Amino acid sequence: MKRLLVLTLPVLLAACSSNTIQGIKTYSNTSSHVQGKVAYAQTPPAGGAHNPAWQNCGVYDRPLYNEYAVHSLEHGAVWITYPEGLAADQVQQLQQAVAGRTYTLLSPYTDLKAPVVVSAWNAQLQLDSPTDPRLLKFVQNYAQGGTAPEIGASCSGAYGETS
Amino acid sequence: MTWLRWLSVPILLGSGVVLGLNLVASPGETSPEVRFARDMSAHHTQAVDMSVTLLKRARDPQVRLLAQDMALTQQAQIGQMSGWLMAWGRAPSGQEAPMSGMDRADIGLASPAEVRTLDSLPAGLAEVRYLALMRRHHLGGVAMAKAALNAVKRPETRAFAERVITAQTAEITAIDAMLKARMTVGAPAAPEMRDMPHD
Repeated sequence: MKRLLVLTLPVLLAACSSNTIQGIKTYSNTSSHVQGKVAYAQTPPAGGAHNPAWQNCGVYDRPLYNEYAVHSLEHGAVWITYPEGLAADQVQQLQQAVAGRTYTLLSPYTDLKAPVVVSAWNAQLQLDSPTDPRLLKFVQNYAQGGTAPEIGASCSGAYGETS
Repeated sequence: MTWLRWLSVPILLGSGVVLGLNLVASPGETSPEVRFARDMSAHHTQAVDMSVTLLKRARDPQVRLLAQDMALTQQAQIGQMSGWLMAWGRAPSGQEAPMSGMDRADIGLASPAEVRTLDSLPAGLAEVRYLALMRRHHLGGVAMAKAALNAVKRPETRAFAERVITAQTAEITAIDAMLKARMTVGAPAAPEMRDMPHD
């Protein structure tokens, strides 16, 4: 039995460490409902005060209002953003990455500094390429999971417009 | 030192049980149990989405009540399935999108355009369209649950799949009666009820 414990410990440790994603940044934004425009600590925002309505999860071809998207992050969504004018084949790769998923937002983001930034509640990762395997790993770890305060809340039936 | 040896037996046995439950018995990442929980949650999500739209828009009290029932029931069931995944130590999302490899029409999913018509059609037409889409969605859900019963072993998952088959089959009958009463034309065709291949 002791040997079993010794054998399983490294497995357990490996399982835990495989969940950390290189380059991820974490924050400690807090949540509240407000009307109107919000100044956010991160760009794109990775949490904070937000509109009472949430952005419906899905694929958008125009930038979103931060205030709705942040509410979706609170509900466990992952928001994938790319600069306006990203090459069409790269946008397509991002669309394929989220196809069929129910807790992701994909949209361009005005003046984004990296080719891809993926955000969840209080976590964010910058990527140079849509094919970086860390993208799907981030989605897997944070969609409906991770640090979202309201896991299990809806990501549809609310706000579906763009800015 | 004999007493120490005897003392250690139940402790070791105890730790073995704990290890066994956590590492051996919990369904793995590629198990049919985990796949079913993720796929069926995503399938339910569309039913909730369509039902919330009708809960807001329907004028017919019967349709509004059905939409309320569907939204609350299926959202609660999503919670049950998420609960298993948490207890099993599995993320709600897989490496692949849910229901990947399945034919979306075969499992009764409405296309994005069909979902949008529930918002855009006049309320009376949207009510009938919702009934027809939910009928097809339930047929697909029953087929998914039947296919799962061929593969899953966990008692909570099997009992859940059996409940889905019973409840949704009964609701299909109810929807049929509502559709008949409204004399529909142009409803989307329903797929045959048959077992779905998972890959």
